[in-house]
Amino acid sequence: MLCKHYKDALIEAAAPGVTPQRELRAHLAECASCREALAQEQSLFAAIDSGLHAVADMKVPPSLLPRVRAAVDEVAVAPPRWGSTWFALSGAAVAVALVLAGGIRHNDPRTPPTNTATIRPPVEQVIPGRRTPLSSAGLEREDLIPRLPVSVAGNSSSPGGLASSKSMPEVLVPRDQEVLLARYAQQWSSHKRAPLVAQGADEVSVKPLEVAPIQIAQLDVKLLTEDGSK
Amino acid sequence: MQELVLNQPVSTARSELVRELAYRVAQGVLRNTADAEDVAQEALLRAYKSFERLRDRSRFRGWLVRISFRLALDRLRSAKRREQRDTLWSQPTHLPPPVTAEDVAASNQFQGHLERALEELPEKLRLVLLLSAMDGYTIEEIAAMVGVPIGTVKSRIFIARKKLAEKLRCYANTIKMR
Ligand SMILES: [Zn+2]
Repeated sequence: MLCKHYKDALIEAAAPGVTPQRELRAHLAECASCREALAQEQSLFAAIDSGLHAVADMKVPPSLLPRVRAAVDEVAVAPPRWGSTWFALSGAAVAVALVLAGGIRHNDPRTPPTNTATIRPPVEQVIPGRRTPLSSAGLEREDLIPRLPVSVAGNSSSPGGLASSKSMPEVLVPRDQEVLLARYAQQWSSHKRAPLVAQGADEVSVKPLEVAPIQIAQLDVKLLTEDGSK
Repeated sequence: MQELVLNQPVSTARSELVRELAYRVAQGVLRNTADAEDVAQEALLRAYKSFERLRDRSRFRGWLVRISFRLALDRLRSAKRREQRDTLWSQPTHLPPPVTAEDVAASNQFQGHLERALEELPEKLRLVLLLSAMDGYTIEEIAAMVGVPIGTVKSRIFIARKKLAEKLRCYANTIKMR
């Protein structure tokens, strides 16, 4: 009967991080039965906690990201952002391939990242419907679904800009991440590590078109004679 | 102008955390991978659509947790209604208790009872308990996500665990009072 008095106290005391109160401690010191009961109650809480972790810490299936992305694409009924539908579709196809490759690599920490995209600093894309930049403490839409590296028509002032934008995918970043991205890109270029896509592009040797010098026949300049004008 | 090359989408890690949160909340309620994936997809899609209103990160996480939880509960309820319609009598809810206390933690039966007991918890307690059981969220973060004071989170966790213990004690064959 005496031990029943401690039933609630034993239950409370079994929760992790809880120290038994002085009265209970004194009773536990002289009652083996309650010590055993406390130990059992503690093992119950441990079992509950490990069961809860099993419930709560499930691994996210890798199929979720492509599914979400497909769902987002489906609802994105806004006017095509990048010119023709064909252009958008082909860009998306390339990007999905890149992201899928990136997703597989993500599971293997030994594999270095090779998901390649290009950027032309300073990035000055003007995209219809683009949101206003968020503060650095805020969330980016890319935090939700990482943006696919898609080609966009940048307003590069370089004469070679158009040609290279067609051969290389570009990455769009939020305005407040542009500096970081450019710095990251700068590191890569300074390491002289040719990435996957760029390798293929570099191997194509582009020779300037050679045109034979213009042949101009010697002109036979004759003075007008007095006889001819008359 | 020089062309620069880079190698990774910038926010992959953060986006993974967001997906993880949505999925785990859904999975914690539904206990079914396919259903949890459906719910997480729906929650993320809604979050994507409503993004402009959810700029603040802690508010966003709270919103995502609540929408995932709500969608998962709805799905669970409709699944149960379907189940009740389809079967004339329900499955027996009580399985024989495990033999020894040592077997309890590892026991699938115990896990089954735990999940059932979790399902019977009031929603407020269940959500907080689930979040607290996830790796990587502090009490402060959970309080921000759920939108209640830290003290409330602590007391909800305490009450929820106590309720679970009360329901599971008979299966664990633990406290025996003289
Ligand atoms: Zn005693």
